[in-house]
This record gives sequence, C-alpha cells and structure tokens, in this order.
Amino acid sequence: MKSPPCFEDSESKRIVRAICDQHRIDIELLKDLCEIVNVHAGSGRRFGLPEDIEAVLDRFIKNGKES
Amino acid sequence: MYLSRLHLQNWRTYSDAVFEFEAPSERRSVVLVGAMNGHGKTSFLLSLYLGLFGRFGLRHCEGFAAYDSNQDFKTYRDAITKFRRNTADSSEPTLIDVTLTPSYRDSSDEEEVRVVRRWYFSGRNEPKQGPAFEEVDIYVGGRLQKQTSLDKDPILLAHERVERNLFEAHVAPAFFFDGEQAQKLIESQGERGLKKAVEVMFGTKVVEELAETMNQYLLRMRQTTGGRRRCSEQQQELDEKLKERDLLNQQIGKKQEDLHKLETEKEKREQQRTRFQEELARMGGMNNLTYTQVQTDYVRAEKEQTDAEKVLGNLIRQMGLALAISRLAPAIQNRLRAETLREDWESLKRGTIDNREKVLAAALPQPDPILGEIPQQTRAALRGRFAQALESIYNPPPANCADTFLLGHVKGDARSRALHLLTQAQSLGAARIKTAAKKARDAREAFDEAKRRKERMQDVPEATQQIRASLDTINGEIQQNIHGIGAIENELKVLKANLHELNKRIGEIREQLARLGPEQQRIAVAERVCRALEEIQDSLQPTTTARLESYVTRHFINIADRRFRSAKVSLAPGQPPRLCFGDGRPDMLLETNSGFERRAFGIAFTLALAEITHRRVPLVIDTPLGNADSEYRPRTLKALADFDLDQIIILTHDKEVTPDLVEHIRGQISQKFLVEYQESDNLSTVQPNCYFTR
Repeated sequence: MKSPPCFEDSESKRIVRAICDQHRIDIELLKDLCEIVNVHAGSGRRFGLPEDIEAVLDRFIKNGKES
Repeated sequence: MYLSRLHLQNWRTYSDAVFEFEAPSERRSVVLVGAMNGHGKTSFLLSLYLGLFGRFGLRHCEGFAAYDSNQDFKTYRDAITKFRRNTADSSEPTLIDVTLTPSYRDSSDEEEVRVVRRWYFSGRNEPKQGPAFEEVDIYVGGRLQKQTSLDKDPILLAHERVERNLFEAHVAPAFFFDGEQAQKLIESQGERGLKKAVEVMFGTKVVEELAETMNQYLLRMRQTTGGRRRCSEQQQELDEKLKERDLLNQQIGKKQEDLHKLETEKEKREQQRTRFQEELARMGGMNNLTYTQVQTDYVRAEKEQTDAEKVLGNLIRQMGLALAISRLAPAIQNRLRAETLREDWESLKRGTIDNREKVLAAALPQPDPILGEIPQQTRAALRGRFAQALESIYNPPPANCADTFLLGHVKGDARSRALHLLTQAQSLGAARIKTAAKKARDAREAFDEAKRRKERMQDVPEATQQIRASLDTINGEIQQNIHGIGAIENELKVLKANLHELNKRIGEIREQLARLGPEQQRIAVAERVCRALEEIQDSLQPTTTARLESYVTRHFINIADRRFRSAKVSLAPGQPPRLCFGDGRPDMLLETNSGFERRAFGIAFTLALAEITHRRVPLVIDTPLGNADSEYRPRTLKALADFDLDQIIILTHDKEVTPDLVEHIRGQISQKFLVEYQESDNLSTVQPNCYFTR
C-alpha cells in the first residue's frame, strides 16, 4: 500500500514532519496507521482494527521513538 | 497507470467489443478513438463510470447529476436497463470489464486492477431483483479478491475496494470526462467538488479518516482502562513541560546564535581596529602616533641637530690651533727631523775639519820616514790633496738632510719635546672632533627622519583624523560587544539552569508514566497522534490550495486565450473559481466566461490535480476541443499531448480532432481506433489502427 501523496510530496512532507516533531511522533507511525485504516476499510472488516493500531503504537513505543 | 483493456458486452450499441490498449511509451501517450456522433464515444466514457463504480458512478452520467446512490436503487436499475443493448439476449448479462495496468513509470508496489461488473436480466429483459441484479469481481495483481465480511453488501464492499485501489468515485470526472463535463465540474460541483477531489487525491481524506479512527480508538481505550484522567493529567503536564523545553531550547539556541554573532562581530571589529592601527602607523611611523606627537618629535630633533652642530662648531673653533698644527704637523715633524740630521752631519763635519791639521801632520810628518825629504811644493800639494779627501767624506750631505736650518731656534731636547707634543696634539684633537662630528651627523639624521615624518603627516592629517575617529568608534563598538557578550552569557547561564530543572521534572513525569502500564502509554501516544493529525489537516489545506492555484494557472494560461495570459486562478475557500488580473482589470468569475474558457479551466484543473497528487491515472476526454476555433484547437491538443501522463485517450468526431490537426501531435500518438456504427444492426464495431481519413 502506498502512503498518502501528502506524506510523500516534498513540500507537504516538510509540513507534516514539522508537526510530527512538535508532537514527538514519527511520520512513519502516521504512514503505518494510514495503512491500517486503508487495509481495514478495503477489506470491509472492522474487527481487529484496535489490535492492529495497538501493535503499531507498541512498536513505536518499543523502538524508543517516543521522546 | 494506463487503461489496458476495456471489454463491453451488450452495452448500448456495443454487442461484444474489446479495446486493447498498448503499454504507453515515454513519448507516445496519446490514444485517439474516432467515432462520429452517436457511434459510441459517450458509451465508452459511461462504461468507465458505471463499470468501475456501479451506482456510485451514475451521477456523473448526463441526466443523473442529482442521483442519490445510497437511497435510489430503482433509478440505477432503470438506467442500466436503458444502457443495455436493446437487442441483447436476455440470458446474457450486460458486462463491463475494465483493466488498469501499472506503467513502467509506476512504482513497483502498484498492481494491476481489473473490475468485472455484470448486470443480469430476466426473460423479458427486466433487471433481476435484489442482489441477483449485479455482480462484481475485482482482481488485484491478477488475484480475485474474496469477500471477507459476510454481513456487508458485496457491492458496497467491492466499491470500497475499487476506491482504495484506484480513486474515489466522485473524483472520476476529474479524469474521465466529457469536454462539456469539464465545464460542469465547475458549474455543478464548484469549489466544494474541486476541494473534495484534491482532498481525496492528495491523501488528506485518508488523514481525516485516520483522525476519526484514532479518536474512536482513544475513546474505547479510555473506557476500558479507566485511567484516562491520571494518564491525561500526567501526559498533559509532560506535554507542557516538553513544549516549555522546546521553547527553552529555542531560546538557548537563539541566545547562542546571538552570542556567536556578537563574538564574530567583536572579532571582526578587532581585526578592523588592527588594520586601522597599522594604517596609522604606516602614515605616522609609530603606533598610535598623533600629529602633535610627530610635530613635537620634529621640533626636538631640529633642536638636537642644532645643538650638535653648535658643539661641533665650538670644538672646531677651540681646537683651531691644534687643528692647524695638526694639519702642519707632518711637515713640521719632517722638517725638525731633517734639521736634526743636518745638525748631526754638520757637527761631524766640523769636528773633522777642526782636527784637519792634526790629521795632516800625522799623515805627512816632517821628516817623512817613508817619502824622505820631499820638496816644500810637493808637500803643499799633498797637504791640499789630503785636505780635499777629508772634506769629501761629508759631501754630499746625507739623504733627508735639511739644506739649511729654518727652525734653527729649536735644537736638541727642545726639538725632541716639540716632536712629542706635535704627535700628541694631532691624535687627541682628531678623536674629539670625530666624536663631535659623529654626534652632529646622528642629530642631523634624526632631524631628517623627523622632518620626513612631519612632511608625511602634513600630507595626511585629514586621513589620520578620520582613522582616529573610526578607531574611536570601533573601540566603542567593541566595548558594546563585550558588554553584550557578558549579558548573553549571564542569560545563558540562567536558561541552562532552568533547562536542567525542566529535564529533571520531565524525567520524573516519564518515570511516573512508565509505571502507568502499556495501556496508558498507548493512550499517551494516540493522544499526540490525534493532535498532530488535527494540525496536519489544518496546515495542509492552505498550502495545497496555493499550489493547486499555481498549477491550474500555469495550465490554464497555456491553453486559454491570450487575454488571460496575466490571469491568476483563485480557488479561495468558500468562493467559486475566479480569474484575477494583476493589471487592474476586475476579477472575473470563471462561470461567466465562454464555454471554451470553462472547458480550458476544466482541463487545466485535471492536469493540475494529476500533477499535485502525483497520480498517474489515465485521462479519458470525450470531445476535449468541442467548438473551439482553429487557434485554440492545436494549442489545447498540444497541451494535452505534452502533459506528463502515461495515457491520454481522446474520444473525438471527424470535425474535432481532424486528420490535419492530428499532424500537430503525430509523434506523440501511440494508437488509433475507429468506432463505426451500422444502423441496420444497431451495432458499433471497433477498428484498431484506423482513423478518419482526409
């Protein structure tokens, strides 16, 4: 799954990255979460969505990206 | 991505037709599909809306703009029945099979998407009831997508999949449109429609959905963990402290920048001051030498020279006799020595003469025992000869002997003393005069140097004063720098102390949060994600609009009439699109322009949308040029052909993109088709590699 163009376009990416820095999160975290939303919306199922979100959040916390 | 295949069965005048499109090459992206009016151009276009999006694409079809896809199923069934080929066998479904394939320019993770949609009819060619009416198969990368949720409408599920893999139904007219629809894109959907298209294509819609999903997740987590308040309060304090720290770090960074700036300034000024001092030294001969000092030095050197010369003069006067004697001394000394020699010679000579008779008597005794008796005359002659011989001993006088006595009054010891005094006076006088002369020479040289300096200073007093003034200014500035540096260093000390305290508190809160457990940590991160997403949505909108305006403007002025060359397209929120001019002309609403300008805007918007979203969706345009005149036609066609897309399919009749006009883009055409309609059979057939002839 491709990440949203607004996360790839150089100008908007700069804005997104600055906001992420301000809130101490990672742009990759947002991309991962977008992918989860896309996958679940595309499959038509909602169950398992919180677990998938938690897995992404846990990975972020574990990797020590939280500053 | 390009449209690689379109298969139509029992679709309007197409019985069973296939368009096979070749993979586009770098330079050839244009596909021409020629068909006279009523022969199948619009059917081609409608098949994309309805084949890909089913009932969600119906409102893009002419006459169905107000259609509500969520409520009105009957209209949809009626529409499909109307679009079904009227001579179709009732046992055969109406089928639209669309395949979109990634091109060589798409990323490797893009996959081919194929949507096969069938509509079924009963024996009387009536649409079947309920779910039996419509069936959709979706293949992604050649794999049939299975239904994973049994409790969801399969058509709705399929639709969501199509939208996820391609784009949303409501932005389809931005890529597949009738030339007139390009105008309608503005007229019917206006600013809202355009905005929506950008949101979807640019991905901000996904961001919006993620924000909603994360808020739901947070709500659920707070309910289940019950730790909202505790976590939120600590998280809030941590956020505040972290913001405070960011601010403090910014302040420290700013102060350090200021400090560095001041230090650099100070260093530069000190270098400048050194340069001025060197310049001044070059002018005056001394560091920091003032004109007054040079003047004083000159006067002093002049006096010293005068004094030294006076001393020398006095000495010469005092030493006049000695000097005079000393000058004659060698001659007098030589004279005295010659007279001494004469005196000695005369004394010897006189002694001999005085004793001559005794010598003669001894030499010629009487009687002479040797000679015997000699006559008197002979004796006298012999005596005369002896006397002469005696005298010849002292003649001539010795060498260097004075001829006569000029200094006859100086004799014996007196002469010796005189000789000694003469030697002494000669050496002492010369030494004193030498010393005085050296002093006088040094004083003269010092005076000459002072005089030169004074002359140089007289030439540059103004420049010197200016440099002095600059030096004073720079010294003042350096002092200010020093004070500023001191002040900033003090402030930095305070800020760093605050930062230390803040870091300590942040560490404490983090420890507390870490003890809260994984749920609260997730909540903490999720809360930050939600806040970030809100800000991202707010921030991206204005920048995206500004860029879209810039892109649309560029494409629009490339196509539209010359009088719009200075126009700028405005897509201000809440307002219909307008043209603004920088030359004093009033703004112009786009909807008040001519049909072709509206069409040009629609095309420009589509191109801009593709550009800003980096989506390589194929463009399918039915009659892009419409009723444009002979100047507009080649310009618009060239703008379309030149645009950096994988595929541009132009559906046209013989009076629009004429064979002559085709010549303008010959090198960019990848394929041509001619659709021919046989009225007797009510049948459209597709002829590949054919087009209208002249």
